[in-house]
Amino acid sequence: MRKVVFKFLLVLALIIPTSITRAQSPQDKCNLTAQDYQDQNYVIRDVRFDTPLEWLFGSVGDEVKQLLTSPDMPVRAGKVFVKADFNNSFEFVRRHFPELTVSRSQRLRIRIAKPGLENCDAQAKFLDVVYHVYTLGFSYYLTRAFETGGKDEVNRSVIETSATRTLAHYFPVPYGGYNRSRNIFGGSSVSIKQPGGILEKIDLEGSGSSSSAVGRAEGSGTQDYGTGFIRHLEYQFRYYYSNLPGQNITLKQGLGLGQFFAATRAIGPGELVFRFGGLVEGGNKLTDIAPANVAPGELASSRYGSIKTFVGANLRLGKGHAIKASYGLQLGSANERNHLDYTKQVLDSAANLRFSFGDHKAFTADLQFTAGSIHTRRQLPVGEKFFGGNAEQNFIASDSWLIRSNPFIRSFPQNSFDRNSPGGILGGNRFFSANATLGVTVWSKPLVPSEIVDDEFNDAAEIGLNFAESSLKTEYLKETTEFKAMAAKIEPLLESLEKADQELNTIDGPALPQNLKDQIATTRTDLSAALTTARTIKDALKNDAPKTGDIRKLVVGFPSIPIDSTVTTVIKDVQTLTSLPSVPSNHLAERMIDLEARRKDMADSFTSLSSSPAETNAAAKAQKDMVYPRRVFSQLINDANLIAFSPVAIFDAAKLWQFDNSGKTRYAVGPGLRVSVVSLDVTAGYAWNPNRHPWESRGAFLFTMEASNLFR
Amino acid sequence: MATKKPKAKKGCTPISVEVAILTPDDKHQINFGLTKGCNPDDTVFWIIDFILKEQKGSAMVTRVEVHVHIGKDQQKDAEKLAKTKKLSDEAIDMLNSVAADRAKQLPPGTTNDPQLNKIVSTAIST
Repeated sequence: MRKVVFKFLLVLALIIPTSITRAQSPQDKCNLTAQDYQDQNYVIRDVRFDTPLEWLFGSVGDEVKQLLTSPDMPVRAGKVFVKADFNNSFEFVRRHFPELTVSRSQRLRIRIAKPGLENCDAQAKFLDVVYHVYTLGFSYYLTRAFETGGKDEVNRSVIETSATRTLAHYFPVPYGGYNRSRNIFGGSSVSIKQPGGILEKIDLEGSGSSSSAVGRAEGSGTQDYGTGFIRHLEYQFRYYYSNLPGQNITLKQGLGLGQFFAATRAIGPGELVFRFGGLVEGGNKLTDIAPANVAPGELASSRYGSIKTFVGANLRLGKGHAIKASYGLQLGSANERNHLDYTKQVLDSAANLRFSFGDHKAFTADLQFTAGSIHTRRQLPVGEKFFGGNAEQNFIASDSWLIRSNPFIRSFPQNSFDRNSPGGILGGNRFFSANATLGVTVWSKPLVPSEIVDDEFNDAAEIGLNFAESSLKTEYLKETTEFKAMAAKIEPLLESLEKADQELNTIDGPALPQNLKDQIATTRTDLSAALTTARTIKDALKNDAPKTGDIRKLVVGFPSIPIDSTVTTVIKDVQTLTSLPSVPSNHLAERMIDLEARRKDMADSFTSLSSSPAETNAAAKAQKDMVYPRRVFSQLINDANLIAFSPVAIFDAAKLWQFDNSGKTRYAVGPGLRVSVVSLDVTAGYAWNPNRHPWESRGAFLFTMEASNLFR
Repeated sequence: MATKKPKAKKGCTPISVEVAILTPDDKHQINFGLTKGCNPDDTVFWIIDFILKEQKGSAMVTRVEVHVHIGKDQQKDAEKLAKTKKLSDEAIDMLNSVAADRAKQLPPGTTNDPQLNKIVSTAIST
């Protein structure tokens, strides 16, 4: 997620021309109706989709091109604009959208599509037809996690293609970059996804330079749960090798590890989420320091094993703000007997604050404080000491939870913040670092063009979100004891229906007049339907909750159509039957009185649920579930940018020391520029070391890429 | 929703919304779509899409699939939904049961069934 200059330049190269070519000058805005443009014989210059990040995938462009150039497509470039064709083309395009699918990790998705006209050139009489398509998905954990909030909401493509499906399973990412410690480096990572397996994802990564090398092979899996206190479980198995130089030391390691962590459900209006987990790792930690040059009790190179446990929480504070805090404890061993040789503790806390102003602009403040200490009981690998600089290290092995475990100071190259005197001991046993990155948006292009955001657009989204909320409420209601008690009344009702069926058998016979036979047949058909529905409800009650639609159909009906309940239909059939002349003597009337009493009992219980505390609680639960999707949608419309430029100011303070608390606090001050592409922030700049010691550098270039947390 | 950016009227413009949800018990997927289309005379027509899937083994199997074109004679029903922006519990039950039953009775490939259209248009106005 950092030091990826190549990717940064690639992104800029792609997005800026795209943004510029799509920008409309004020005089080219399409303020007339479609009919007006038809009447004025405008010609279609371009037909295209506008969907977030589709430009990242060439295959999407190809698929879209196929769709837009299909012989059945009513509009095409070069044709005279006709309003009816414009309307019909949207229906043609809509029918070709892939069906929205959901999963345990993405339980709700919404897609809004609307066509529009752009770049209406009044002089040349040209215009563009644009289909705006926005697809959002909501992962319970990822959208709430401090580190990844907002990263996954905007899907990267709306038109699925064989290539995007392949990319979703095998996603290669070449990258490269520069920092003074590693020099120019390059490499690639590839993710291989196998949904449904224990190891759902295999990641392979390798990068190298003339002085460094990093390799990673990882298998991981996740489990997401729709109910219960634990909502997300994640586990990894990883082999990791690194050879990373600093100014005065080269740190090498080869590690194998296994890790799990879990996240709870969101608690309270601030959506407080707790996370906890553990990790076991083993391997070796090597340096290029001569053994004679290390401090007593420290090992320049040694084998290594450790157990880590970690806990944390993140919380949302009002619109756009979030904080997190994490604590990690490591018990380490540097010998073959696995004695406890040292303990390491880290505390990491951060706040991301966002204050919106103007149109799609914001002032942001990203603050972080990290501290750590090592207590050596026997011996300590030097590679386990704290080394700081402008690259952060994660205490755990996860992309969705970052516990920074080294002093982060952007005026020092990676691993170069390592001592307090010219010939001092390398690495520290204690540290703290405090960081602030302040930014303000100066130019932005909204993700959703303001031209298409009108009341209808918002209402369409509201209908979709309300439908999701109503469906959730019904599902929650079905889990309540009140609902199950009502549904249990199916047993006596079914008994009554079966008795009616038996009674009907007693009067049926070949000698009956035809009109009687016909009415018995009608009654049998309706009774059979009632019995089938009643048995479906009874069976569902054993393993699951019955469908409210089935219960309503059986005992309540739909008065607004109007449609009687199935049981009422049976009762009316029987009443007709028993009123016919020459019907044999029977007990159907008593059976119907009994059946109606049981139907009414169940129907009353069903309808009274709508005003019960159970319904109120279910509604509140569903409303709570939908708070986040509603907020994300609102922020997508009001705050999200396709691209934004923000000057940033950087302030860091960090201190690294041994046990004696010697050394001075070092600083980093500098300017930078942040380019935000949807929720991906790329920040580049330079940080000076204002009170540098003679053995320290004047400063360092910085480059970071990270997912911003727009959708908190 | 607080997002309100009223724009000048531009005649009829089509718009479509679709939502898919996995129920908390992980056993059902519900898709609901509402599309506003435009006729040449700037009058509106509506299309309702409703799909209910149930988990059978490890796969989601379609139990109900309803696609209904709401014609001019049922415009008021769809417009009511556009105004209220909410389907009632009864409406959802109706789509799940009565509309589903009717859809199952229709021969494959049926694109227009007045009875189904009436059921769905009544459901969305309930």
